[in-house]
Amino acid sequence: MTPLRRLGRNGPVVSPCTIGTTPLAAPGIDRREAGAMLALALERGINAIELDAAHGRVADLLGQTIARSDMRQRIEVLARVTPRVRFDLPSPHIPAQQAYPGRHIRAETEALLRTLGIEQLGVQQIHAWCREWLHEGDWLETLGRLREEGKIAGIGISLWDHDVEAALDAVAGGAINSVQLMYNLFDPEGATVLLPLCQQTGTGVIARAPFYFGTLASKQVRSFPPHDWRAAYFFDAHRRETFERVQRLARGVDPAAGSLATVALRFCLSHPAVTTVAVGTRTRAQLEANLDAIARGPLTPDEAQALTRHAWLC
Amino acid sequence: MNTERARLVPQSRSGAAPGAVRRLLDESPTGTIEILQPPLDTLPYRGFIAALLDRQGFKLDFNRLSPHEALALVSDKLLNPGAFVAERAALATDITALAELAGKLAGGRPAVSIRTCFAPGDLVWHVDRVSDRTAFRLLWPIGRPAGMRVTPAGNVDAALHRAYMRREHPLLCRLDTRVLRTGAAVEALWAHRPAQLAAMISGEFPFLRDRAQEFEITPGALSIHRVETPQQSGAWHRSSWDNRAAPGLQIVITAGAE
Repeated sequence: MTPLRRLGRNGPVVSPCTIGTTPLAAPGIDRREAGAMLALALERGINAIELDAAHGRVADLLGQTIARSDMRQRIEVLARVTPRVRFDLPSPHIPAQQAYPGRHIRAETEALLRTLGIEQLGVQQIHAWCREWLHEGDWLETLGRLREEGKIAGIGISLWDHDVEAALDAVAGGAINSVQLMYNLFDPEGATVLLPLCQQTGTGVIARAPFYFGTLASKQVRSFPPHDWRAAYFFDAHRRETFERVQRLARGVDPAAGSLATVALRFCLSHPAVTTVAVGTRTRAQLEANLDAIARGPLTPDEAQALTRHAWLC
Repeated sequence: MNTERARLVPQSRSGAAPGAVRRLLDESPTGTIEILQPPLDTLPYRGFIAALLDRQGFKLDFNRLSPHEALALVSDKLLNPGAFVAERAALATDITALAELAGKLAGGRPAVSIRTCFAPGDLVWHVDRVSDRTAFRLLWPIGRPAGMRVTPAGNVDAALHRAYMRREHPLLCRLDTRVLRTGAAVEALWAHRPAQLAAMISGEFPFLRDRAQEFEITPGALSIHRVETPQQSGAWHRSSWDNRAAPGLQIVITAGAE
């Protein structure tokens, strides 16, 4: 396993691969397999788990897994606070205090610690971040206090997909430890300004959606079951275009660099600003494949550069 | 005028009482009404407008400035100091009256901005959003060839639109910013996204059910539409690619009440 890295100044020390648990919240998930996957991940040296605080059943499963392991002191849960308002889009017109009141952040953080049976979260993140929120509300003050109390190690923001510019002020101001963004072969926009700024300011980076919601992990046109949120997201035209682009990309991948999925994951870790990649994982087989890809290390700068011509979600 | 269009986009007369305008808005199936305006070449401030139209690509939020102060600022900065004093005062007077109307419609304070920039994000069907209880937006585009297009809410597949915009909204916002900052052509900035560019040019979007149900505001007319709030739905609208080279001078007044 690749050595652990620090997630921003004074942040937690995390593995380069983070288990993204959003897929485990889907209806019909095989909880036994999911539990086995989480246990194997901890056994294989992964100490970072990304968790949406709204996913109570996943938190329960993770808490049980942690209790059965000897990782209680070393696990780093990268949590996301549940907003009080449902967001369909980035919503700068919603005041931060309405979306993320401090009292709610504290209550949810403390409840999550109890569910997980741990004393500290690795990071607590504000999702669907809008730059207007930086100087609004009491979210930052609350997270600062939780950090002082040792209940969280770091403060993070999590960006809406493709909305990298929203983070620039927060990262430049140095108030946060980490930023989470979509970063993959189709949307490498973060590398333009945000990731270099994170390097300058010592801000940790959690790259998510390395497979663009699974599409970069398969060369086949796939459909999603009706209960899977991706069935709506990949409406016909979007699905068609995505898979045409996947196939074009697959044709250009050097087999020596690995499968398309391997290359997609290695691409994310190729930028030196990226601390960890959050990979949505359901099964042990997926976990093993991801670990094998990460063990191959980053792509060379030339390999990574050549792939940027496939960007289209930016 | 087509009867169906008249029903979906009712017309109010200029100078109508705010109460009457509000009733018309509340009854409008598209959440939009229009108020015809005199042609540009008959307006008393046509010279000032023409001079501003030559300075394509600026945007100014008035914030706490009165229309008179804001137009003086714009004029002195973009044109010659002291130019068009009488004309800009006449335009400021008209903007003040429109802001009063918007404020009375919503029962709140109006926020005014003017711009001559092209915002490509407006080419995609959307509703404007604020967190107030009630809000309306008044738009008066002067000197552009095409009017805003509106459609009833039932003509938009909301789930499909949500999926489309989850992906596109941040990209459209960034595109707007780049066009405003650099003046670069949309076709060049989105050359790597031909399908999305084609949709903006053609108006063919996967979430619009029936293109026959989209209606154009009369070019040069003033329109008022409902803004989405937690308490009310918003009016679906988009701009036209025909305005790309000539976005006109757009006077935008949003008024909301908590």
